[in-house]
Amino acid sequence: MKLTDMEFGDLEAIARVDLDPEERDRLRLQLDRIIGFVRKLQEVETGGTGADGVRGGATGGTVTQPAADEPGDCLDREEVLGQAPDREGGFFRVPPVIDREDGGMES
Amino acid sequence: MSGLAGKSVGELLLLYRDGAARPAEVVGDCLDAIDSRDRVAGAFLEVFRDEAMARAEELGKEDPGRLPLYGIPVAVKDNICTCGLPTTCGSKILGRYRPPYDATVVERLTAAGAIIIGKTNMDEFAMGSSNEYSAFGRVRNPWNEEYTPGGSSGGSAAAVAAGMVPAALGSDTGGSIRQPASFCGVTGLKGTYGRISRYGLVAFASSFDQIGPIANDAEGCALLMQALAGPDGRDSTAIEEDCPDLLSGLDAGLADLSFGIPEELGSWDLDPAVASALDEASRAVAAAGVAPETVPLPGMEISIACYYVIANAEASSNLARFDGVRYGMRENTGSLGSLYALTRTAGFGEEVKRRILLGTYVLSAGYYDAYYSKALSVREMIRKAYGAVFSRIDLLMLPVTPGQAFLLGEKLDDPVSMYLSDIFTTPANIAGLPAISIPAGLSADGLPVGVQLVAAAGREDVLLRGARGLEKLFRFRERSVPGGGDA
Repeated sequence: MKLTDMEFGDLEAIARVDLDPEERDRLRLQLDRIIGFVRKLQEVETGGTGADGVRGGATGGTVTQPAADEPGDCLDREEVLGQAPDREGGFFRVPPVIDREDGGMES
Repeated sequence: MSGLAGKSVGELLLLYRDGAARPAEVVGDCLDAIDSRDRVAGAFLEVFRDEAMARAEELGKEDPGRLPLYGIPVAVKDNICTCGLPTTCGSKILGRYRPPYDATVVERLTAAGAIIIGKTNMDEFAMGSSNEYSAFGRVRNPWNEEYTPGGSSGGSAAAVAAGMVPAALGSDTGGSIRQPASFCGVTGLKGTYGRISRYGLVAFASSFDQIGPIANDAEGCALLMQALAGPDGRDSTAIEEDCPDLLSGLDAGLADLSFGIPEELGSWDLDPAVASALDEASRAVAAAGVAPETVPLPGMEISIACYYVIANAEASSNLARFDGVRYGMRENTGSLGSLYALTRTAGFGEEVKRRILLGTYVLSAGYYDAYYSKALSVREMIRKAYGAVFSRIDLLMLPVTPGQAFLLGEKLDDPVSMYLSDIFTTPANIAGLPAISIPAGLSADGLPVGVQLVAAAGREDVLLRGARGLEKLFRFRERSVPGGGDA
């Protein structure tokens, strides 16, 4: 089974990448091959061990403890915002997100 | 005194305690070694020259016996956060990133008296087995510059192997400490999952990722691990119990340890040098006590597929945070949606995109059960198989990789072939077990070949004792040095 154009386009959209045609062709072929390789997982008889796998993961069933719900030290706001590609006051600045009724964009 | 940078951690600590060396001399020697050797090796992305020297001068005023890693220069893989200093993950997308905090391991190293000397090159976001996927140039193997140093912690392994630093930190998600350690002829340790805090390690696959030490010998790894391990309230997956004492029993020998070799190894086409290293290890163990028994270990072959499905599913989710909004690079454009896509397309290299797409695929509706859920079930099956093995034996002995280091460029066009070089390392990550790579000998091409030991969860003490015992039999460090000559 090979990935269709539409499937590969959907993957790109969900993964938020936009490949150029040459890279798209190359990665699609490679992804087909990799998926063919990992498909052999389906031949393994696991006899219903799934639920434990989800819960236990690498820690082998050890349940991780959530942190206590108490206020603690946090990072300095200016230091964090100082890493942003664009900012305005105490906020991260991004391009317009919401369409206006007249077709323009709110900023 | 020259040659200090190539000393082991234990040797340096003795020199300090005898008053025969000062931290500033050792740091100076490391900086000289980096200046003369790293132009070819490409192991460092950043050298903290002034900071390291200032710290060395400060330490010079303190009592060498007070701190367990007093004056030990350590190189840190560039996916581990260093406050205010570059942390690129080998990626353009984090090219100018300066984290506002230190990783727990950086805090612990510093508190133990170590000196962070710089950041090492790596495959982008630790995705790769050759270090060729770094956005900032490849790393060359110090034993032969036509070959890869392995990956993804190739910069860390090469820096130690080339005698630029006595120790380094790497991270191991599917073998990324052990495989480069084997390719470069140094010792690399991955602890039990959760043994070392992941706070400040840029996440690739969170249920596999572990930070660990790379050093010239098992003692160096033990000294670093002892300082790094332990509970951490900032990582909920860090093991809550203290790490066992790794040092007092280190030299207890192999006599009462039981070893196993996987039965399934027989069906693998191993490079002759790898097979002979394993035979030599097996004979040495038999001579010291009891011959290794053959143990069934089903699932070894399927482990690669299991690993690549789960790891990349986690990666596709973890790397969603790189969106050009809060940190890292941004490609400016008119809408938020296209800003995300353009930033990620320009910022990520091809291997990262390949893995994000695979992860997205196995998590998507219609394929989730067939791939992701199935891989979780296989993971549980592998974990149980390892549990059964460690009820019979103390240590599992197997190759690190099927072959020696490969040539630069050799596997770049064939991702599956590159992935298969992790076949013997991924199972320990899948099962969350501690594992170590020890240099055993040289191949006919003069390249190092390692042997891997795996222990039961939580038994780094047994693992390091076994490694130390084998290392004394191999005498690799006394017999061989990079560049072809004998030591």
